Amino acid sequence: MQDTTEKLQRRATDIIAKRAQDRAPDTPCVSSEYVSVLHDEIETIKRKLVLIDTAFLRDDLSGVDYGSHRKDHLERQKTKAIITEYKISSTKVLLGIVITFVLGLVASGFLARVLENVR
Amino acid sequence: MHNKYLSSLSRALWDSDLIGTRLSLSMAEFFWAIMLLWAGDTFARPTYYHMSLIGNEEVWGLVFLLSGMTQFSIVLIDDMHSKFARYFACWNATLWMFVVWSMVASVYPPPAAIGGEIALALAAGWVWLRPYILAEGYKRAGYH
Repeated sequence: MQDTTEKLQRRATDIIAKRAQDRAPDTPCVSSEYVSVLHDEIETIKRKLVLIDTAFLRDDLSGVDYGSHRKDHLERQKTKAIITEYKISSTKVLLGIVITFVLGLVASGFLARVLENVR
Repeated sequence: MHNKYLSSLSRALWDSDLIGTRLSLSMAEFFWAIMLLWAGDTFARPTYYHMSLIGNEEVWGLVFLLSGMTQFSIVLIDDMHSKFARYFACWNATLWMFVVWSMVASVYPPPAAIGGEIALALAAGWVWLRPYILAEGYKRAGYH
């Protein structure tokens, strides 16, 4: 998309420069080729806007609902943050449980060794 | 800003799929079945005393075989989130925890190889419990 726009702009610039060189003193500076280039560019931008609008839902008046799309994204971000926080805190709890279990196991083994040596 | 190790651990625990865990469990069950169905009296050893009170080694061998096949099928048909898969995960966790407890309770000191079985029992418990813990998180975030 960007390449096409740049190509069109370069072509328009080239045409204007050439016409400026060839133009007689009283002729207008806006040529039909330049108008045609501008027209093509506008049509490309319009097609892109139509495609962008298809990403959004329609509201009750059949218009594009930009507002609810934005709200939906904000809600998803909030939900994601809550879930991420929950996962982190649950990870801490689980880590605590596992470490306690492993330390308990190690301590039992160590105690058994000590008691065996004492006997 | 969370500690990066905590974030990595959180991702490993919650955002990974449990396919590898399920496959390891099913392989362990297949190997248990093979060992138990092997010729000879495996249950003569004191390690399996409590298991022998429930059933003989052929029975246990078949139990492990069926469990391994079911676990493998769940992975093959990608059925990991159905009701059946959840009930099976509960059964699987119970099986492994009972087996570990019975071996620990049967002999002292506990055999070193039981370390692997403890890890498998914890893995089976995780496969069962993780969906419920996650569901609670989604409920708190507003998903129903």
